[in-house]
Amino acid sequence: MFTPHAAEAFELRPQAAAAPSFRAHTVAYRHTETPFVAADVSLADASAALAQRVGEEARLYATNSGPIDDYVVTTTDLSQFLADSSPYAEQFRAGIGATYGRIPDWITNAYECTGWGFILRYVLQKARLTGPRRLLLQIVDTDIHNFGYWIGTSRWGKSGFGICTLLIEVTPGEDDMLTLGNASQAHALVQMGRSLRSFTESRPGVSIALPFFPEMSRRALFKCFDTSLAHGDHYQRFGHSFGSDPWLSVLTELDSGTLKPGQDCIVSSLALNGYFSIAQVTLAPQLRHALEGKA
Amino acid sequence: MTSAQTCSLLLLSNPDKSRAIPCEVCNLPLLEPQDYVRRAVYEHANTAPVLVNNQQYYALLAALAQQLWLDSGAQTRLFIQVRMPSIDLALPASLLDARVTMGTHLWNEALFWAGQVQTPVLWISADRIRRDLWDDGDNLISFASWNTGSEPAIAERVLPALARFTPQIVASELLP
Repeated sequence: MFTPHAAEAFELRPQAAAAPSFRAHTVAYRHTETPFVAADVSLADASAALAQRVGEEARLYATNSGPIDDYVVTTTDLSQFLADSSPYAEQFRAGIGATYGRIPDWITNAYECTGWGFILRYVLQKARLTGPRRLLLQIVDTDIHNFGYWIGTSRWGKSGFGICTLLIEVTPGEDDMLTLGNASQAHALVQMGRSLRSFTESRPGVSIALPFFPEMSRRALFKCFDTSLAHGDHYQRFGHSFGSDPWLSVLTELDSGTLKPGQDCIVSSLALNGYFSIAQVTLAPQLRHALEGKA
Repeated sequence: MTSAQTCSLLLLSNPDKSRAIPCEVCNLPLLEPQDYVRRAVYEHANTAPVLVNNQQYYALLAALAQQLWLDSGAQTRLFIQVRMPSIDLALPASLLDARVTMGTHLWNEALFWAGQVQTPVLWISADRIRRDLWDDGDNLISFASWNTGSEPAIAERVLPALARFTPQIVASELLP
């Protein structure tokens, strides 16, 4: 449940301009193998291999796309050695930079699957100071250690691992394009569903990308809002792919033609600890999109 | 932007000493024998004591945030460097606040804000507080502040939130 304090804290300041707050210029995803490396591969080598893959995705989908103001990596299950201040983490960032040409400005695993929403909120705050900003955001969920926990649990089902690459232009504008919430674990699904209901009611005709969960969880979520515009269920194909779920949903709908560049959609994610992110995103008419390397 | 004030504090005691609390040295469920092997590979031979569990760690960060908003004003923006969040333990609502950014390598973000706004900006390195056998931390917590004014010193601003940890001021490393 929202506490009054949390609701107050999450409120975004009203702005007068009407430009879209979040315009996606690139949406790409490529899965990574499980296990990603053999058990006898050293942490340094595993880190270098993953950094090369992350940097390659950035190089493929963010090069020649105009200047990047902010470059952030968010994750749920990335090794803590690659998301802290250790020398391994420095090597990981440097490895990305060696392939892409720029190291990530910062990395976070604090917000789990909802990290993209918290990063959008933060970059929107920066944009209110500087004007529009172009954000390269990568959602990297590959467990180089291959812990059993991340492979899948009864709580979110089977997992999908990979790298999602987003290039989003963040423009200070309407203040209601993003909702972040925080509920207890027990009530998070219902609370997110209620927030989806209020978010979608004022956006008729805009399709809805949801996190991928097993059928029982999806049914519980579907009781809370009008699901007529919800994207198809892609859990069986991709598994729960952490913060990449809604973007994978967008890519799949683009592939099938039910969603087209130039249209808006609503993206949403839920974290195990009860946080959720919901945003309206405009897909640029010249959107670059690729699923497993195929545009 | 004012120049940064910095300080480092070494935490010396558990905040709940003499009370029984779960040790919670592991923050990722280990489900199969091979998981224990994977974990053992990267355990540190670290003599620094594990002073806090995950819950105490989050409580410490939340207390710091509240203390800084009380002391330096509600507009104070916080950049908190943390290590991996714990599984099955939600962050306190105050750490999800729009004035807080959590992650790593946040020094340049703090610098950006310090140059853009006249209100206080705090960078907190809390990623060396040891909670886990994987942590290479030494229980040092470091701070840098901008736009806070020179008095009181940054250490005095944060000490009320840390008193139960018996903090010891040490020479400040700088820093990012």
